[in-house]
Amino acid sequence: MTLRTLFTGISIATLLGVTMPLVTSAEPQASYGLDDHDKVVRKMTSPKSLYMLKCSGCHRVDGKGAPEAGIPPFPGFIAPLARNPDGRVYIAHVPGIVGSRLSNEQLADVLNYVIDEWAGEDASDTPRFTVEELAELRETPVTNIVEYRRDVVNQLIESGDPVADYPWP
Amino acid sequence: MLKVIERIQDALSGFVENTARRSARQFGRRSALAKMGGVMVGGAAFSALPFDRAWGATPAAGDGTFDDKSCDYWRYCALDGFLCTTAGGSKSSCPVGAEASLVSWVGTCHNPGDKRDYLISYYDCCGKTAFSGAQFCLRSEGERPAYSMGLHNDINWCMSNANKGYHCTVALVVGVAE
Repeated sequence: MTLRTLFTGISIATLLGVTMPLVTSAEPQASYGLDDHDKVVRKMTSPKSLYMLKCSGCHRVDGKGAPEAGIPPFPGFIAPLARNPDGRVYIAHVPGIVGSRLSNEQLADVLNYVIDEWAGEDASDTPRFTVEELAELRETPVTNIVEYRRDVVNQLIESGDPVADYPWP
Repeated sequence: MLKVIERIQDALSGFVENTARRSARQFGRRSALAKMGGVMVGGAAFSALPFDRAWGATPAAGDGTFDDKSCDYWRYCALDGFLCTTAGGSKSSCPVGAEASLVSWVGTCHNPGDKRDYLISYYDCCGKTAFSGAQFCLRSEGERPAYSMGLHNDINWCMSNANKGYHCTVALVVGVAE
């Protein structure tokens, strides 16, 4: 074997060596746009953790919200809202639910957590959300959430229930 | 107006620096190995090269992962703003004269120390003029454009407060992502 053929052999082996791993690594990334954060959230099952992640930023850790910034508090207001059928449709369409990217299972858990924590004395007569009901509620078309809320608020006022302050009355 | 331009410039320089650092971290080692491989005789050695399937996403310890004054600190994975640790505060409390925002941005960050995912709440500290010497960081990992409002962090969270001036951002651990 001359020196030249030896080098040619090395070059071919080099080419193969370089291209082979590239070919085998051309398999698609398993995530398909799901980043690590999405993966972590999808595995989350603790209603409290889900509340902390998806709701507490605005509704705050204590559920008291920031009424001066337009975020209604839960205590005293969530129970009457969740006892009204249209109120339940409204709850299923608030921005935090619509934009949450959580599954219906996770959403039902987190909504029931809010009722457990902040419905107070009314917790026992406030119906909880099931996955099936939530799926149905979310499919109910609500084109104008503010208008829809206004209608729910009027019903609550008529039945003598308390209504939280809201920046778009 | 000047302040806005300054902030945009800071954001840009922070972004460029961050990108440069990241690309250095991602590509440096591999291209060095490729060069070494070029010097080495025998093509068979190449197939044994470690191929980085993590796309450089795993942070190596010692690069600021545990330094709360560094953008690489593990708790800052979804942070966008000035570090309070470099603006007179700490990683969990606002500097004197600034108040925490009423609303905050919550995300999950992986702690390489104990390999667990934590819920981190980023509160902005408000009502105090920005300090030009503070470290600016833009990581916002997992953030989405504004059409996914629930995952959009390009917001001054001081908007909920009476004093809307932004000073810096703190990162509180508020739970475990479980």
